[in-house]
Amino acid sequence: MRLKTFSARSLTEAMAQVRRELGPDAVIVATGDAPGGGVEVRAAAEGPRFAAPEEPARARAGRLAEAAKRARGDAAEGLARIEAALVFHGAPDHARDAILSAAEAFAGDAAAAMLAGALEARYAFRPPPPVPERALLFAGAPGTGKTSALARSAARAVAAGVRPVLVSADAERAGAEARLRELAGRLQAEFIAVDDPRELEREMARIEAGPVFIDAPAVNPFEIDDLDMLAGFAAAGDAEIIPVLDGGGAAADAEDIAAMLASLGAMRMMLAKLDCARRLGAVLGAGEAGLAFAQVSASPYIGAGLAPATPLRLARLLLDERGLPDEAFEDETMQGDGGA
Amino acid sequence: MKIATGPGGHPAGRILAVASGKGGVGKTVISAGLAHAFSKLGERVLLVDGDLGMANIDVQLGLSPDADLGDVLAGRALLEEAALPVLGGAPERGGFDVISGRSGSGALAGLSAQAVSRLASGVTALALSYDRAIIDLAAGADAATLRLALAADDVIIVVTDEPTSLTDAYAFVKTLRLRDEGAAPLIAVNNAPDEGKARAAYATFRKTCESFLGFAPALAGCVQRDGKAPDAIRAQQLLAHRHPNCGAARDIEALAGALARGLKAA
Repeated sequence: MRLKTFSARSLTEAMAQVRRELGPDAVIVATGDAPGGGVEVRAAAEGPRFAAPEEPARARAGRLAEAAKRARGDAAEGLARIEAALVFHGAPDHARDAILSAAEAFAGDAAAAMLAGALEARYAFRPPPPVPERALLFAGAPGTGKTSALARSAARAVAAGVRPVLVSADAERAGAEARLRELAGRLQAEFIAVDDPRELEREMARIEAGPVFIDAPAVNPFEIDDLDMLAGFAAAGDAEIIPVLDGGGAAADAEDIAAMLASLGAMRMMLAKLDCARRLGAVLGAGEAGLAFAQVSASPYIGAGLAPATPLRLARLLLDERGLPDEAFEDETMQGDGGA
Repeated sequence: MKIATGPGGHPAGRILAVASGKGGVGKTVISAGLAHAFSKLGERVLLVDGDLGMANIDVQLGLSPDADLGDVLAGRALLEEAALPVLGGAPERGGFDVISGRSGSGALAGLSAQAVSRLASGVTALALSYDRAIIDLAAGADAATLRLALAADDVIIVVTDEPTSLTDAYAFVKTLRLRDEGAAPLIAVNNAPDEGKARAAYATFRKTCESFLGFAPALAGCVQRDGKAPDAIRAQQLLAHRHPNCGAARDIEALAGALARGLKAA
């Protein structure tokens, strides 16, 4: 802590001195009259006045990006490139070893093809049809992109020529219901809001046609009560639980979360926000839990829809030479294109 | 949890650490004065010199201990054997036992963390034979001093109205709360020219802690500037013994009263 006494003719003048010398976060701890007239102000400030970065932010971003590209193996070929990419993404060790040994069987192909073959061998891929037979219950931790994934799935059904029913079971979070209602309006879909599983069961009995997409309340995947509630909604709606996972999370957490939701009977998952992350180890972590890949979302726009998860698409995502932070600076007129 | 009770029915072995941050603010005068004052309140008191580098309680009180902490840590004496009675010792009203450090040698300064921990446990165990143990800590916030402070039930920080004392005391609070976020040290303002200046110094200190640490230490008491205090130190006598009714001695008694009533941080 720095403690300093300032004297000046007026309080305003003293305060200006305080801010100049101790910075904007200084705290006045005592004030009084100065012996020769005027005022005396004692002020304290904590920590260094300014952060002193060792190198400018942009230079640092550029340097780190170059290092990251090297780490990602953009320049390498074949197996070496796949290995470098898996390390870059922070894939779980057991996944990396298994994928690399599977990829060896496809030696001679391009890296993307080798990786696709290996992913196909290790994970299941089951994109749902545009008009699912069973109701889908979109579940996940807060902010993973459940509602967006639901809206995109519903848009796909609309494009296939049916009128879906959107059900909001999220009465707790402020605005959650209103948002889904707004999305349903734009899709010209039917909208229903329910408070609890019993109400959902009643509404489901009433619905005559159309695929049903249910927005579950956000859950803490490690909280048994939350999972019970989710299972209650799934049973009441006779719905398939579709976990929506944040593709930018930690790989080990994604594996744990996917495993928890798989224990409720979930079979396939959607991976969202892949455009907002550069390291996608969570995608492989989630796959390690045994859930099949359903769809991936790599765009902030609902209209951009969801891409079916296929081994080749996933392989390209993992090997993708997408822009790293320094490239964002290079193009000052950058459009919010959303990457891959 | 302390379950043993002393003769007065109080929980036994409550440990009070007296800290300061900056040296020379009157920590030892207040520690010794508190020992005497608690004793007058009917408590059996042990005073420990926790200044392992530059101990001086024995010098201030004019004692010639047969054994000190240096002997204890070297295994030449037991901790209780180093306790020297002052003014009749702990059983007498006004008297207390003192465990001295090794004055001026600096030999205990570089103790290992393990040795300091052993010392802290030893003091905690020995304190159970008393109603209260007071540890007169070293100035500063080095690892050994913090370890002893963390072993205490109450920590009181002695400050003066000088900016250097306030910044050093702040550093002590901050460091202490880095180790134990529940630590709620109390403040005693010493040597202020008048009550208003003392309260202003405390207000400054409190505001600083509130702003930067999100913690407001409570004021335990103020001890006035008193020319009798340096005189007592020069005479190597307890202040309350040489000048029984001087202002500073009365303030220290009031401080002991407030602490004995179980003052808690706001």
